[in-house]
Amino acid sequence: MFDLILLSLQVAVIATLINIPIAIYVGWLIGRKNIKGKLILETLISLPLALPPVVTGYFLLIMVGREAPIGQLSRFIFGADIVFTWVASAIAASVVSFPLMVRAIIVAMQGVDTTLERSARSLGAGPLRTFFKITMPLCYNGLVAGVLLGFVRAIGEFGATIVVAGNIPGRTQTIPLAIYSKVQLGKDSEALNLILISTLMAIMTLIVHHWLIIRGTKKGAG
Amino acid sequence: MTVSIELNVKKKYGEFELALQAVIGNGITGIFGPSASGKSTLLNCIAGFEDPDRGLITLNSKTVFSSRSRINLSPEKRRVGYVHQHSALFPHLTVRENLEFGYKLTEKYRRIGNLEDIVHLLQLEQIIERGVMNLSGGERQRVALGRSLAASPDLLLLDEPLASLDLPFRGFILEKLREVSRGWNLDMIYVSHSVSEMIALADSVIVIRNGMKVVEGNSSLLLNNSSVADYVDYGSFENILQGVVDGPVDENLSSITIGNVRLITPKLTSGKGKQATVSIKASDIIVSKYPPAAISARNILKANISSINRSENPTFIDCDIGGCILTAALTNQSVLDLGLRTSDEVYLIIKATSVTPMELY
Repeated sequence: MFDLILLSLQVAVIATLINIPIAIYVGWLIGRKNIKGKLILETLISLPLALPPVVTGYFLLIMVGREAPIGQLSRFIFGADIVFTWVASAIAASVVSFPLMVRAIIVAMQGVDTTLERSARSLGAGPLRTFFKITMPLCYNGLVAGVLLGFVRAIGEFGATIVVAGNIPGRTQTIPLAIYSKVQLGKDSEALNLILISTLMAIMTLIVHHWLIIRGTKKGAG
Repeated sequence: MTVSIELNVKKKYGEFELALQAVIGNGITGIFGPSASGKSTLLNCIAGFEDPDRGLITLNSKTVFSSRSRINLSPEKRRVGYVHQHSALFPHLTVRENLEFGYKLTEKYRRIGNLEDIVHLLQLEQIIERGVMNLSGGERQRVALGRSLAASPDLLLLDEPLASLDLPFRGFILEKLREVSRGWNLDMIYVSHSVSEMIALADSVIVIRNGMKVVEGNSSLLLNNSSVADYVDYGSFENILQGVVDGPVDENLSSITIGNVRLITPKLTSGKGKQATVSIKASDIIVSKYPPAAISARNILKANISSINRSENPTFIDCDIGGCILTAALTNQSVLDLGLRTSDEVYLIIKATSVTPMELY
């Protein structure tokens, strides 16, 4: 049981950590910059949200499978396959949760008044300092919401994971997959325990979310 | 005139084109023009937020933009401060952190004033530890000005900084801008619609319209140049004057010394010896050729006409009251009837209640 929770957390945390820098960069590109092909990029990053997760899982399988280029690269570098490992679970969770995270960040970035960034530049701050000292703090709420939304989506990921990582107890079985198995096998009480744990984790994530938002809004209004 | 800024800027936006060539001297230069005349685009080009299509911009002989030499300094390297109409304070920082933002990024040897001096100058002591979200408009604009000054810019751009402020704050900020311009030797470009602010503050003005320079010169040209007449609100023109408070005269009135003249005003809250700013609408000043006798108005000032600025209507008469100029607005017919000429001696009659204090506290 403990291993199961730990694996689920490991998969979700790693998926979220991989997504954060990419989501911030893409959020900035779409929310802040006038780039060509913005519509295509937006469609592409939102696709996993619109597709059935099983379909996303299938696409991933094509990309990271044993015969696929990424799969072969992995075998060449690490001497191991990606499919049916916890790494595949993390990749699946990452891809599926990415749109939720990035969309919240895009909205937050679009809400930042450009005059503030310009003021920072006039006061002697370069683009990077302006981004980290002005843009990012002003996106704080959206950022926190996006990251936690992504995290809960990652921890609950099922469809894409089962295709690309399977449902191997002790190796790739996360809480949602385990619940599915227990219910299938008629082990209702064991399933209920896991459901309880799942619910508790969701509540804790929401509490953390509220705490971070409150902590963030205290300052400017003081 | 020492040259401070040289501009030769071309920028096209669809139908609109900004095409401006100007040499801007030291002191405070006003940019005056109707909305959508290209004023903000010009400031953005100087600050480095927009790139001209072609041209050259030099600040104190440092080239910050040149299309020919492919020079385009980023905004943070130009050392140009920018005060916006809506202050643009960083909402997630306190007043102190806002002030410190640029201050800390300025090398020590470049700093013209330390933070305490700026806080004191703009009277920010009471609000220094507060968040900026709960400040009033006037407080916000004082912080915005302080924040720009703390970064010790070589040039300060002001885009309608008083447009959304109440009278007392306008007076205070005008006073401080003048003080900083002279005391710190800081050049400023001041964009505004208000002729009163221009006359009160600007050493010279450039009038632009549809992206082109119409006329430039001393700020009083705004009162007599026919090319600006159609978009200047002459009726609202007010004299903004700075003086030293003498103290109360009675329960309801105070007096203030402006230049060599003592003026009776409604009660001023500033104590004796303090600086204060007052405004007098040009249309509230009555001009008489002879000393009036037995009249209720509290201020009768002997003056010499220094210039007569004929616009279509009214005519603005600049009167030297001894150390400063007071502008009166008369109908063209009155000027003809009285036969007023430059250097005539006249008497200006001003009711105490026509003098509006612009004090902060």
